[in-house]
Amino acid sequence: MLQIENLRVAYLHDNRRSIAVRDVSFDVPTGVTVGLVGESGSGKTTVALSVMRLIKPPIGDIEGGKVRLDGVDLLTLSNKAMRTTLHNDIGYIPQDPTAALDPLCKIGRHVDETLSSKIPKAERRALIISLLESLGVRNAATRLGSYPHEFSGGMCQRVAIATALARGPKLVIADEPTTALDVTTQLSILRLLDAQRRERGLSMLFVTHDLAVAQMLCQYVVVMYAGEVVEKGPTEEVIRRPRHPYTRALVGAIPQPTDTPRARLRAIPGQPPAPVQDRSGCPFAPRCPLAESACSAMPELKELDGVEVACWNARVEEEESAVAQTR
Amino acid sequence: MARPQGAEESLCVASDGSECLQDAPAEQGWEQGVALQPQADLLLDSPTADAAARPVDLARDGNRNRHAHRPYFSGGILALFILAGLIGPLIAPHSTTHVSLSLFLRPPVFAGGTWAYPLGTDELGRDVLSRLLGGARISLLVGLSVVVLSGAFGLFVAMISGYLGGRIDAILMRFTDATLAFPTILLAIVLASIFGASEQNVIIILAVGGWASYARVIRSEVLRLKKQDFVVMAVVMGAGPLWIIRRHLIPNVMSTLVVLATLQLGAAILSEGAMSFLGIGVPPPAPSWGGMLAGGSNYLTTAWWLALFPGIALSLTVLASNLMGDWLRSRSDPTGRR
Ligand SMILES: Nc1ncnc2c1ncn2[C@@H]1O[C@H](COP(=O)(O)OP(=O)(O)O)[C@@H](O)[C@H]1O
Ligand code: SF4
Ligand SMILES: [Mg+2]
Repeated sequence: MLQIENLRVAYLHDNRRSIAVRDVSFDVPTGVTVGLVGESGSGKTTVALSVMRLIKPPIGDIEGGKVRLDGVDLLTLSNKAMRTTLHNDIGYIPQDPTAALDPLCKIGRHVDETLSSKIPKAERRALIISLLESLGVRNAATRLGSYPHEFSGGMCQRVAIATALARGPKLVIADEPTTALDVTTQLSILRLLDAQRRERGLSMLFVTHDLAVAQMLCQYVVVMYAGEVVEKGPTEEVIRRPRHPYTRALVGAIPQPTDTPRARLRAIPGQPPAPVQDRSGCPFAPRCPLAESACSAMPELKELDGVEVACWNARVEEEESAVAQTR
Repeated sequence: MARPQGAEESLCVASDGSECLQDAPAEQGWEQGVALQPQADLLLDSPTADAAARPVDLARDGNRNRHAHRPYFSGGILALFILAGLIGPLIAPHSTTHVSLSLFLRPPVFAGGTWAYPLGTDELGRDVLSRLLGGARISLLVGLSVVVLSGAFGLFVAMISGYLGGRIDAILMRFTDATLAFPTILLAIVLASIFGASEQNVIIILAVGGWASYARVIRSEVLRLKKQDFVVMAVVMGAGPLWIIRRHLIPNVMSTLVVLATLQLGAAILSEGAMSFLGIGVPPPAPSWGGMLAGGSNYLTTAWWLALFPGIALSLTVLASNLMGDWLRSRSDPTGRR
């Protein structure tokens, strides 16, 4: 189980800091996939990388908060202990499958190198082959010696997933693992991740900008806007009855099968605010249809009917009206 | 990982010195949401699940004829040069240093000379062909030593600088820039007048002046590579810096290193020639091409062959090395990476 508490992360520029993640808190229970959703630039990747402590000077700085994995705060571990934890307990699946593999390193070797060298070679090989096969790489045995450029994007992503899963991690962090793939491949990768989560009882932190993808895969969603959590709760509930105006807009932007071609491309008007040092008031206010004077004070996350939401005007609306309102 | 422009390291200096913007992949916006049916059971129990997966992987790189134009000319010259350097002194008809004043300034065989001295003799009666072959060995030895020394040091600096970043990087790069800005030949004159002229000193001096371009170019490669997801994945695997450098970074900069080395080989041979020409290189009577050129330049009107043959040997070798380097550079990019 992963618990993130009041995580605050800044990027460092020459002489100033920009806060990319502010006081983000959420849990990823064991055996559950939690979707981290939000527009591009909302800080999702930063959260994911911070959990693995990959943000450090001179690039950025984790200013505060706790990241507990099964009770142990990763942010206070020694570098050595952190490396062991990363090695044993955390698997990472990046966005671009072709960049995820070293072009000069054979497919089999990618997976092999994550395994302990104490396991005999033949055994490792059998393990790798069965893992790759279970992830949908056909004839894995004959393809261990191939180089990544001989594989399609989807196949590379399966290999990347295999390297993430080979050590049997507790937590898998996937950063937009299907964004670079075509729809069919995307679907089969999502199915596969879901099957692995069930089989292995993984905690999965799944980053995506696409609420429709989160809806298919995740039991919980955490909606981020401009570095802050604006709404979090069970996926079904959040999507069926979004309480935050931003979430409502996101839900409205999910293309529907009934859409006319023109209606398919809906964007939320306006731009998210730039990451700055200080902020007062609701960050969504400039784009919010419900903004009012109260919104110049920062809204706190509050529970409203099973979902936590940070908005002065949060209210539960039925799906139909919510969608209708944003069109 | 989407990184904004202007973020640290987003500006790199390409090998040709121009600036390029790196790593600004466009992340898809909301507009691109794909029309998937939002049904929870879509993920599960679907017999067509894997039929939907692509059964065949299409190899993405089909264009293998692109480099059909092979460098026969430069390859041939370089092979000849290396061969001459390796076995030249063994097959040379005469000693390279034996002085015999009675034989001085004989013309080459096609200009009235004899087959005993096919390319003529110099002002001290030494066989020009034999000295040319001996010079090949010196050029090869100096060239290779310089390339290996400065390549290894440049690689070392590039790895530390690029991988660690921060203040160490800043300091090392200032140092690198300073070295790059200092003209090699000036450096050579200064150092040679301090330490004296010898083959060993020529090698050291040229290596001291030559590592910086490796450091610069390879560092920018490392900066590009270390942001790649496969390096991030290796870090998440628990790999340490040494392992990542050895396993991922060095293999991936190898092609760049080879290109730089080939280009530098020519430059080093030329510099050795220039140093010997100036009298601060390989000291006489050793048969260096540069030294032979210098000696021959006094007899340009009376005994043109003294300067002509080492001149041709030097220019052809340098040219071939540069052409080969260019060809390797044009070839090294499109394979396997984007
Ligand atoms: N290396 C970096 N240096 C400075 N700012 C960064 C860097 N990486 C990301 N940011 C900024 O942090 C914010 C969050 O980025 P990111 O976590 O990548 O968002 P997301 O994954 O949701 O698209 C953005 O405003 C982005 O511009
Ligand atoms: S707090 Fe105000 S501005 Fe912010 S989302 Fe709610 S209504 Fe809109
Ligand atoms: Mg991202």
